[in-house]
Amino acid sequence: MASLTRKSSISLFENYRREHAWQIREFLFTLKLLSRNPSAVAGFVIIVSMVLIALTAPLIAPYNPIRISLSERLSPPSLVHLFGTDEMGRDILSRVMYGARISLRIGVLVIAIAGGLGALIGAVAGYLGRQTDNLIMRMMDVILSFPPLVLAMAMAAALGPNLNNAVIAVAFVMIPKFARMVRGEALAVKEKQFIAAARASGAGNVWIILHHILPNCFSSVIVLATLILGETILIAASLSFIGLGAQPPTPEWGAMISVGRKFLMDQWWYPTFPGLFILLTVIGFNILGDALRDILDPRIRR
Amino acid sequence: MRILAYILKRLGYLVPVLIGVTLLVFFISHAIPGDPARMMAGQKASRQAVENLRRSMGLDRPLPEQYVRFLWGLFHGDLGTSIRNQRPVLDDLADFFPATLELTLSSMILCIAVGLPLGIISAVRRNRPVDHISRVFSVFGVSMPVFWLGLMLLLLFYRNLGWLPGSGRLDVAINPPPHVTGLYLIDSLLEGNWSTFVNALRHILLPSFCLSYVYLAIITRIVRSSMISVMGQDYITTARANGLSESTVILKHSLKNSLIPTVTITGLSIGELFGGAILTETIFNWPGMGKYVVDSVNFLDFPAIMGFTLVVSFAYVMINLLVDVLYGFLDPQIQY
Amino acid sequence: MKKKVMCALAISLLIVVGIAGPSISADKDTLVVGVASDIHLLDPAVSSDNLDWRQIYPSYDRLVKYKVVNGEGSTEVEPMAAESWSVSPDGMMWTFKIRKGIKFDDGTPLDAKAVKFSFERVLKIGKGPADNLGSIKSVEVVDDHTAKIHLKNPFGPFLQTLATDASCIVNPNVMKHEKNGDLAQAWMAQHTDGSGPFKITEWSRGERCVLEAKPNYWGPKPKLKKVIIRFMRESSDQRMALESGDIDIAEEILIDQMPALEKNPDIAVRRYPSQLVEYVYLNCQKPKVDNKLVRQALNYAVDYKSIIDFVLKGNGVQMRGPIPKGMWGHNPSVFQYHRDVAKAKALLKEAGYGKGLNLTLIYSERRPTWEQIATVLQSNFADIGVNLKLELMANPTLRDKIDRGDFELCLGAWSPDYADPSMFMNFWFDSKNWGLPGNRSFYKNDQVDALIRKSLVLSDQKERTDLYNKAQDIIMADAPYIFLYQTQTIVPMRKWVKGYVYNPMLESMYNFESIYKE
Repeated sequence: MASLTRKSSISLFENYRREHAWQIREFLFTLKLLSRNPSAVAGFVIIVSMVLIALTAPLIAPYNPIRISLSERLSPPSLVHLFGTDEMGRDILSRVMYGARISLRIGVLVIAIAGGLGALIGAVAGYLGRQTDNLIMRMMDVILSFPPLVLAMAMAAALGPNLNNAVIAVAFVMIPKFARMVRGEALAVKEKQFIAAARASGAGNVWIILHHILPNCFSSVIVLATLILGETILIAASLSFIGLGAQPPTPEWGAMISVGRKFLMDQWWYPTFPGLFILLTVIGFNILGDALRDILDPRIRR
Repeated sequence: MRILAYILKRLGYLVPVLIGVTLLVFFISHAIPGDPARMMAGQKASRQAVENLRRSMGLDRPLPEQYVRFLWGLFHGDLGTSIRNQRPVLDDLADFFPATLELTLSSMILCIAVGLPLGIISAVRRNRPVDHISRVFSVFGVSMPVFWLGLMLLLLFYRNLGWLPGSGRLDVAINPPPHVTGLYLIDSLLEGNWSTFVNALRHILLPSFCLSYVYLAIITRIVRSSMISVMGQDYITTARANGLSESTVILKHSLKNSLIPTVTITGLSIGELFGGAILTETIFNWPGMGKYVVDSVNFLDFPAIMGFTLVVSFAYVMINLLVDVLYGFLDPQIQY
Repeated sequence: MKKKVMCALAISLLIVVGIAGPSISADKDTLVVGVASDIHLLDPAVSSDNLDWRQIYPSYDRLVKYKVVNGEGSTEVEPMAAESWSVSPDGMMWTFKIRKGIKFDDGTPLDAKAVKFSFERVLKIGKGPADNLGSIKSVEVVDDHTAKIHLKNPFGPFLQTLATDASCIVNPNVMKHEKNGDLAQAWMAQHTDGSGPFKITEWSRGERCVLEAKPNYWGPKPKLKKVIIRFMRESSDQRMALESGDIDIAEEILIDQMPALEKNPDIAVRRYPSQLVEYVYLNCQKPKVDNKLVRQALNYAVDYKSIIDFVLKGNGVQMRGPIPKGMWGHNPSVFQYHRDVAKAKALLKEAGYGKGLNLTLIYSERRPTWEQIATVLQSNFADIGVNLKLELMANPTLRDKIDRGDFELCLGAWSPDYADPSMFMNFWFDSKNWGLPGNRSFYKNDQVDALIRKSLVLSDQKERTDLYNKAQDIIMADAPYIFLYQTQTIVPMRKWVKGYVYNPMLESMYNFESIYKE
């Protein structure tokens, strides 16, 4: 009798801290494995470089990205302009650097929105189960029934061609991926002991979802986010290329390629460099994401 | 019999999804700024003309009723009327479909023809240079901005080397073959016109490669990893022990079992190709549905954009269903 | 095994890379024109796009046609399907005698009934082309070969409007293709049924459109047998095709590439002064821009020469007054703005904006020059303390905003539909035409209204010129627009193309019936 009451009187706070400590240990272990993995390191280096470029662009860019110099228009790469100039004489290197700010900002925004909303939706679906789960997952399936670029394109076209709408469109397309994953996790977590304990002590569904379910999915959300960031940046650049996202003269990589395409034959540098940066950034996220996923795969961790 | 039950179950699941798709497209098309009746009538039409058009398009009805009209129209193949061409979107899409089909099919063929051997070689010569190269190739593939790849291909093969043409399906100077399927490669062979065939082939090489690149990378990886896991299995070791030659081991046993994920990915890719085709067709000025929808976007021809989205997503859903069923046939271990 | 595979690969590669097809344009009877975008529709009563007219115009006859004087396109007209005409003294009734013997492809004669049908159809459909014929009240069939057109009011330019694409004479029998009361629009969007020297025999969307000459055309027989309009979006493709002789005329090659083309001995880059102008709308109904001093300041801030030199590579001329050079009524001595930063700043200060001013300019990608102009304007205005925000949007959205007056500054381009200064003076400045119809600066000046409206109904050229001159003086002081430049039309073509006549009224259209190759 006495032991039972003691068990059930273990405070939720204690449970929470215990879970937390385990998570911290896992996190450090992950980092160690990552540092041993060459492709993860490579990916990490690339991403950090891009982030640094994005953050310090106003300091390190050699020219103002919107500074026009018609006398220098369309000049080839030289010591004065490492990546050449565009049709208005703007320095392409500086524009590419500022482009990093834009692309990374888009990526982070999309992931924040899609990850946040998607995780919430998935957690609700997984936890509440049954009809709610069915309904929500069907809606997610509907969204997944479209090839991602096609749906993003339709939404961006309807909302209007500008950067904010492109972010909304891409986020919308990415929500189901997060929702699905978090739902799976929620389904697993909701059977655990401490959930039952929480419910027993009168915690409401909302509280449980926010304080127990979601935090447990955190690491998988991070992994998924890394894997998806690459795809996000690609879709956003594709939208700008079609004419739906960033509009010229914004120095966004996709928009620059869209304009630079006209000049491909005689001014090869114009569309080449922005695209190269897209490729590098996405590669960085993809190999880091892959390595992260491999490392976190329970079979490998043993 | 179990298969049949599975198919029926999947079909039953399909219908609400398709309805959901139409709902989503319907909602999106109502987020569009501007007045659709005004857009159709033209800038200079009188107020009365616009009102008449609005009434005939049913735009003054409550939303649910509009949706039902919309669905009804879909059943009859009415996807709306293109604003800039003043003709049914379905007709427009039908016109451009063969070009996209030709591009998609040749990309598929390229994917399998290159991806399969590359994956096998990678698996067999695991961790040797070939393997590493193909793994790098895979990473690049998944990360590649398709439109940029197209531009780089043009730069190399069209501008610098001059080996291949840069746009369109045929040289300016050549008359298209008489229309049988709409696929120039096939039609020119049917006509017996060798030089048109070669010309069409030259024009389709770069766009197919560009379009297929991403899935090539994926297929290579899938084939490689599935072959590796198969090759490590017991029955393979047994076969080897029994003295079967290496190539038999590889081809007969390993390959057959790797086909399942390959087929799956191939099928799924067909649907994805519609997304990539948008970008590839734009870069290479390939007159297909992808280029049509990009032109529609530039023109803000919303009926065309929505019509395209509907058609493509329906196709995507159907193909996924087909792949699922095929998967069931191929893998005897799947239980329904 | 490996060797065989290698061999096979090598051989197929060689075949693929090596073989080129026979060149069509070595063929003297076929003209190939490279154009940048697909055509949309073929109905003369619906299409307002020169790019569609390029195919429609040669397929039909009209009552009159533009003269060719000394090998140059004139804005005066001469008989085509109409043999002769006369106008009543009050200018309200025109009588046309129609040529006998013209037939459509199915044998239907081109007679007064066909003329009545065509005009009434355009007016009933009421889309863009109906504007040109807006002065028509009714068409009366007097007998088989005589038609009387009654106007709502005397209209000086009436005869010129009969040479436009809207006035194509259509076979009344197209009505058999009518569906749901659409007056055969669905069918006419994709087919032509006219009596002109050519007919469209093939239209593969996104690829090409083929016109074939009619051997039994009633007029001067075309020297060409076939015209292929080939859609090639990329300037670089058009250029390569032109240089290799695969196409004979290229419609849209980037201005930057012209110098290289001029060096090519097989290619002639022909330049003609056009009536196509580019300008800036200053919305006179919006706060800040409604101040005359602000508008004058903006006019003084622009570096016109730089724009022409860099954006057009020198291929243009600054506008002087709203009527471009080459159109009668152009006033070579009217006031013209030039860049004067000090004056601009002073004017702004006087207007109360000495500390600076924020304005927004909207534009679309409709004209390739707009982005460059916008960026230069941004820089020019910054010099006088005006912070110009640029907003690029899709063309239909832009047009919508223009129509509603929802903008401060906007870029524009304009070309006249017929050869009359009213195409500029009345369309741009009459307060009746606010919005898309023409007065896109939402300008209103009662004096100017009176002057231009009077000029529109007179028929004496000198009287009209006087009135327009007076109006121009007021307009230049009010500065409701910034007049940038009138462009040159540049047409690069192979030297073996002869007989091409440029008519400033027919931009992007070619006189296929008199072009030949040698």
